[in-house]
Amino acid sequence: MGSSKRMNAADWFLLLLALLSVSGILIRFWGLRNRSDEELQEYAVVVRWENADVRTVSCLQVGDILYTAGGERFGRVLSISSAPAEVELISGGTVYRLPSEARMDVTVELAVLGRLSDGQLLKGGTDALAVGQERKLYSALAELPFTVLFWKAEPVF
Amino acid sequence: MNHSTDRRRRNLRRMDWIVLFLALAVLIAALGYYLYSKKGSRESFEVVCVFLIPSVERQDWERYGGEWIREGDPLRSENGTVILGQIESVEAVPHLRATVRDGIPSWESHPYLTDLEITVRMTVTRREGDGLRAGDLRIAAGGSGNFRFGGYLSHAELISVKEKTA
Repeated sequence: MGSSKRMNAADWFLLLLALLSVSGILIRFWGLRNRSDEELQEYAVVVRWENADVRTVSCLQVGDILYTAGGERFGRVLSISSAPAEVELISGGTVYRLPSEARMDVTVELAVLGRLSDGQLLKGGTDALAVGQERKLYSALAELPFTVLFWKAEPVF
Repeated sequence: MNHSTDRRRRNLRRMDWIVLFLALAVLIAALGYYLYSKKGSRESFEVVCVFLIPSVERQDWERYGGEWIREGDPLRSENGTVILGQIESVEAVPHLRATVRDGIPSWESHPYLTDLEITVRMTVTRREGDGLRAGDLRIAAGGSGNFRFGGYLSHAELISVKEKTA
């Protein structure tokens, strides 16, 4: 009777596994709760999308939501401005800059949910955006490979 | 008597664990299903895509282009196993190059090269956050890759995606 109640090594292992699982779940939810408690606000992030075809640019609209390749929401398009991409030519020692008719350099302003910490903008409170950083995002119709130009320290209203 | 009671108890313990693990498996499956269904279902619709194939030998295109790509041909994935859409039209457009003449920079048509713009009708599916998909392939303007346009395998840039209107 007594021997049947005694725990063997497998029992201890399973108990340990169960305790680890429970503590993992608790740590995860505790972290999420703390993060959601933080004051996340929308900040304007300005990015540059270079050498895009005119028709590709028209596939991006103000108000579009941009996602990462993994499907995580990145931000919302606040404004789009574009100028013809320029080609540099050198002839007879002179440098010429010729604007393209088909390709545009596009500046996009995004509203990104995050917080400022030690001079860094942390998207979602954790993902630090850096000036000069290159990323690829997706709207409903377009793919945007862009470079971060700057962000504004004041939240978007 | 004692031996058979112990065996019964051991069997009961084993059964308890089996039931516990089965319950856990059901719970995980339910959680997985919930998370999957939360992502939403995919809606299916038609889009018109324009692909750009740059820098094709103009002479070759004029001689053999009709053999390479025809209207109505399928657009296939690079290895040819998946049909992504149907080619609606093929148009040769000037391949522009920048030049300087008499100190004035300008664009001019390349004498030997041409670009091809191929319009393709595709049925795609959409789910929030996952964009448009034709099969497993993500369809997004600005993307590029290798495709089989009819019998012609080439790298192409997808420059435009529009929802097909009636």
